[in-house]
Amino acid sequence: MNVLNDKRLNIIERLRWMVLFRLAAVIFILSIYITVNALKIMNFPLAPFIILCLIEGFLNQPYPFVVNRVKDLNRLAYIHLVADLVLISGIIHYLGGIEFSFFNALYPLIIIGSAMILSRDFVFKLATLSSLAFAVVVALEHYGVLPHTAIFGLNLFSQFQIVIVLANIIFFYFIAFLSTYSSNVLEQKGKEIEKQRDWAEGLLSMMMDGLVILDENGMITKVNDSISKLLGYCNEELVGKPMLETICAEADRPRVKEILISLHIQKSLKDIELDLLKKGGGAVPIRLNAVDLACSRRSVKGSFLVFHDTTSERESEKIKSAFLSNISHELNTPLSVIKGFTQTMLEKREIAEPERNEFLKIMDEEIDRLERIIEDLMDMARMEIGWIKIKKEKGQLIDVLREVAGKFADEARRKKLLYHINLPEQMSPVYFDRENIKRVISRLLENAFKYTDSGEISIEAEEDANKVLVSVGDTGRIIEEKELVNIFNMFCDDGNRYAGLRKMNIKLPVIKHIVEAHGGSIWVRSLEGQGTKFSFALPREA
Amino acid sequence: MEALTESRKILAVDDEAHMLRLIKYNLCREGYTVLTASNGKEAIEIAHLESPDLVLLDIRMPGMNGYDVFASLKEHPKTTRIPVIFISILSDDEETIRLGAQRIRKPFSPSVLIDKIRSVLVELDASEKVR
Repeated sequence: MNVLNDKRLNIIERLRWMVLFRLAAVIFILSIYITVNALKIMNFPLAPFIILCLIEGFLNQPYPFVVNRVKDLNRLAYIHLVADLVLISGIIHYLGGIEFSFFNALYPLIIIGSAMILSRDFVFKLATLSSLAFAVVVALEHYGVLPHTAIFGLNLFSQFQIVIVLANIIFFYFIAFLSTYSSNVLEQKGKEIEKQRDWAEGLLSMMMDGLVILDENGMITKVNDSISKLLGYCNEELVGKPMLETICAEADRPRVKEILISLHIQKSLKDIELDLLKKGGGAVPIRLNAVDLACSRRSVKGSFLVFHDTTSERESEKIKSAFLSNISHELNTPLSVIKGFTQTMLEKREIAEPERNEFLKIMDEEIDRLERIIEDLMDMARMEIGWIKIKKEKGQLIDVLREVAGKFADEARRKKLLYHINLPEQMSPVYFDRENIKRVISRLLENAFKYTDSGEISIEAEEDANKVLVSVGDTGRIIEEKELVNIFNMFCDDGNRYAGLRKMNIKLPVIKHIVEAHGGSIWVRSLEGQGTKFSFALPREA
Repeated sequence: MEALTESRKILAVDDEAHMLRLIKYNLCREGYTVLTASNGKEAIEIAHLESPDLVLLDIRMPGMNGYDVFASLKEHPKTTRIPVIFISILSDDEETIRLGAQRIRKPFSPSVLIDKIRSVLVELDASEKVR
């Protein structure tokens, strides 16, 4: 994370500028020395200045080496500044005092340098204080309180007033320029940092997963919107609260405490399943990933926790297990009958001929039922991998309807049901997949016959300009409203595992898949007193 | 003993007609009188009318499930003492133990069912004698 290292980068940047300014000052003074000497205005001794340059050079040289190894750059910067002040003050004093105006430049430069390390407006305060101190010293010298110092017997004030004034003006402009420039640089840097911080914060708030940052005492210092929303709080309500007592389920608290302790040792933890407490009660299942912050940055202690809401995963697991339990029930039911009768017939006791035949017939029917279930399962698998391919051809849907409807006449007689086949004499040809639509119709009729023990079953068809409508109605068991919602979903959990389902959730999803692959739609209506009616519509055009 | 068995009335409840036929055939052959019901509501009605000595109860049924029927039977003083044997694919023994009922797992062999019925009835007789 860049953001975490920004402060360090910032100090390095400031230190670099400070060193550059110091070098600029040395070069500037050197050039004035040489100019003054060359023009023979004055004859300055070069030796002390060369010593100064050597010390400066010595101070600045190890800079990259030092910066990369020192952890507390702030302290280094302050020590550097104080050392500079002591050193330069000593040299100035040795050379004859602050009236030796060419050295004036060094003080403002150190002020600027310190301003680069300290905060921005500090430069003005420091400059003011330094000017004040300078004025006090000069005044004290003037009134004879302090002994007047002069360099090698030269009285610079009398001989080079204009030069000194000019040099000072230039330096103050230089200070003004540098402080403006440096403040601009700092401001830009600050903006960049802010931008990066905004970016990082934006990223955190955009994260779908919930995020919590804890301090070393387990208090929440930062949360993102996702976690607040998940638990029903607003961000401000969570910040500053102890995490354990606020968002952890009471039963989970000792465990979470242990997790946080082991996080300090292991530095990061992955995929821990937990329950979080919602505001006003209720739990949310989550998966926790956590990092100990101390491992990424030494000056900060605490932990970074990411919570992933696993409600939908647990829901789908629940649905899957309900589905599996449905399948095992469906397969086991015919199997139990077959097994029971085989055992009965295997016993040594005599069974009368008509009963023997009856049992064989029952077993045969149950085997057929097993076969159909397996076929359904195969259909489901084919649908899941996309193997049900629809090949539409122009044809007479009415022929298919008549053919399939006719097959159920015997069943209707056997169950003593009224069976109405209300099909028009003629229908215009439509584009459809013959085999698959046959399957849809016969599954709907099978379903109707299976759940109807008395009353009537009907199949009807009609057409308009755009579509063909086919309906299968029955007076059998009414499908409850909550069952209706999920009737076409393959995986659904009606929450009552002991209830026998009206359908095994395979046939209807497959039918829906076929109808929709035709560009059509299917729906169902089930009302007390009116019975149940499945209808599907196919578009007339290809 | 034989005479006692003959008079015993057993109510079998299952939504699968073939399963009822299987149970009925095997129990009739043992001399029991067998009543059948294909759903929970019917089962409760018959239990009240006929006061069977034992109920064989499927758990997973449309409408009222086996546990609902069980609760309803236990609620009513007339039917509360009728022993129940659950016959189910579901493997939740814990629930049946909690309810204090017996349980047979589908698929079952008829001899196991008959043994179970016998043992439950013997137990019932013993407890009746104590009363």
